[in-house]
Amino acid sequence: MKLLTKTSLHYLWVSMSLLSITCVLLFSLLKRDVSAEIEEQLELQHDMVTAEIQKGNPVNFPLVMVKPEKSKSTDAVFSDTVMHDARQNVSEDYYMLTQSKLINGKYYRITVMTTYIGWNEYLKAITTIFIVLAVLLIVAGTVVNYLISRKVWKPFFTNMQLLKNFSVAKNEELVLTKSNINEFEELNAVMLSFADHARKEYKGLQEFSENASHELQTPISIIRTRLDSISQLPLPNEAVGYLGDAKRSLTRLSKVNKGLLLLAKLTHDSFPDQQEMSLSAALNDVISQLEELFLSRGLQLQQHVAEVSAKASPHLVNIMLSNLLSNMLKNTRPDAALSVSLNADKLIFKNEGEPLPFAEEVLFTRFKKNKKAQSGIGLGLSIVRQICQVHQWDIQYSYTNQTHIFTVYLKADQYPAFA
Amino acid sequence: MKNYVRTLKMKVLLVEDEPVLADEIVGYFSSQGFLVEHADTYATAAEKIDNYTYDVVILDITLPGGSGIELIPGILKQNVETGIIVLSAKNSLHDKLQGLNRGADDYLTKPFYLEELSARLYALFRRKMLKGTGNIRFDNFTIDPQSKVLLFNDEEIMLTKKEYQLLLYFIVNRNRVVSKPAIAEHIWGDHVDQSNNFDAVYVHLTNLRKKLNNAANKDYIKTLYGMGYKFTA
Repeated sequence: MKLLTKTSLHYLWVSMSLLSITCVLLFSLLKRDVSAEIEEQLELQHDMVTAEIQKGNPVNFPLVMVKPEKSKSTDAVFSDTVMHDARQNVSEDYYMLTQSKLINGKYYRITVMTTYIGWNEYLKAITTIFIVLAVLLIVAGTVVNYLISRKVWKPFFTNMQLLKNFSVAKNEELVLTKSNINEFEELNAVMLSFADHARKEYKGLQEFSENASHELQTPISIIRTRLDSISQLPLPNEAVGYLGDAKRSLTRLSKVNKGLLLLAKLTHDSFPDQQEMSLSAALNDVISQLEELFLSRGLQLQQHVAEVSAKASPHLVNIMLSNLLSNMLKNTRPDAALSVSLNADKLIFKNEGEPLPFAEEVLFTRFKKNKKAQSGIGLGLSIVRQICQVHQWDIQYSYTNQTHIFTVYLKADQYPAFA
Repeated sequence: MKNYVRTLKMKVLLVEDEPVLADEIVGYFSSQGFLVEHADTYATAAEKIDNYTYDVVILDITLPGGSGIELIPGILKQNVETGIIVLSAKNSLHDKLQGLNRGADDYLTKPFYLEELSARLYALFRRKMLKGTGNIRFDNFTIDPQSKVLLFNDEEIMLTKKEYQLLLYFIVNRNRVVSKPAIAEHIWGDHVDQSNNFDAVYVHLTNLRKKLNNAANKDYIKTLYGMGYKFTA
């Protein structure tokens, strides 16, 4: 439930109860005062009739009944009665005062009446007024809330969107919209310090992993050269097998380490070689480098490469394209259909194949790989994604018609995620 | 092969502080017939650079006493033609660009294959000191590096680009067992996942071996099971 709806509902319940209480109060007070007033009037009328009788004048007023009687039949009694209104042809409520009085030695039973607006009518009128008031309050409340949500809550919602898109991995500063509401400003301050803190921690972690990878490079170099030197010696067959295993593992270790180092750099380094470059030329270069590897597996690579240039790091673009093509090469069975296309908006790699053996969401995460392609180090696609991020490109994966499709969106406003 | 060795009396200075790596590099290049000197600190390297002229300097960036990059101007002042290869453990584009901007000719990231360093060194030497001239000869074969042509008794043997690349690599690293991953990295670069490429290495190698064999009736490339290949001339 929205905060606004919640507060509005509370407000509504309270207003309803208050309105009901005041409605009852108003009705009873009104009834008390009006009744007192009517009684006063009837008493006055009674006194006037009495005075007329005393003077000996004939009393013939409408709504007054004078009946001589032998003895005092009643004290002053107020009561309700119903009279027929010939004009409207309805029965109407009347209030009357009946009293026996001794005037000039004779008893008279005098009844004076007056109409009074039925309390039902009063109740109806008052209830109607209060219902109208309640409806108006609700409508006004909703309008006010809507305006408040438009104005006062706006910074809150824009900031929330900003936070949603915020990533500690990106080097963008988090800039939140200011608000004149204290609570929102406090929240902003907390979010900013939180983001700052997270980014520092993340950076620290990246630096740590970068340093760790650096430290490993030299020992790996030493082991590699020593193993290569051992390879030059005449060795018993058994030793050759052991040495081969050791070298293969070392090659793998070295690749993983280089990959991790590159990933660490990608997340916080600047790439000073960014320049206006031809993506088509870079793509054609990488394709021609790898073409024979495709051919040797009986794979035909369809190419639709338009002339496209972009501001990018040639070094990174080369790595990205190599990784995407290697990925296709690794995960495609012979004679499957493959294609690469490049236009001004996007770069698309398609290859036929079995669906992913794991969830799509983890495709770009580290060390997630197809069991059948054990040879890879499991960093290729995360490197690709990081390179896209460095260039503010977006990469998306989809699987349709038994085809894996990787699409790199080259223009920021084309991101389907934000469309 | 003799002709080839004679043209390669290359003077090399290795500036590297890691003793095992230095030992391996000096050992390998000396066995290839280069004159190799070694400096393990910034100061000794600076002194050697001031006093002697080298054909190629192999320069590690992180040295006790300073950054190898700072030595580049001194090397070029001594002889503009000296080739410079920068070694770095950092794999940092920044280092690479800085090195190249200061006048280095090539850049190699640790861990590297000795054979790769040797190939780069040789390519640099040819380009800068020999100005791309000078044919490479072994037995009755002649390679003209300028036109990238292989001749056997003056008759051209057609090689693909990759076979040619492979042949040069083997000649530079002759008499050494070279592993498949090292070859794959030399031909396709180190960004590509090499495990895909071993079959392709095998194909190129088999073709090259066949072409050399057909011409000279001699097997130049030996397969050492589980280890790699060895070129002997």
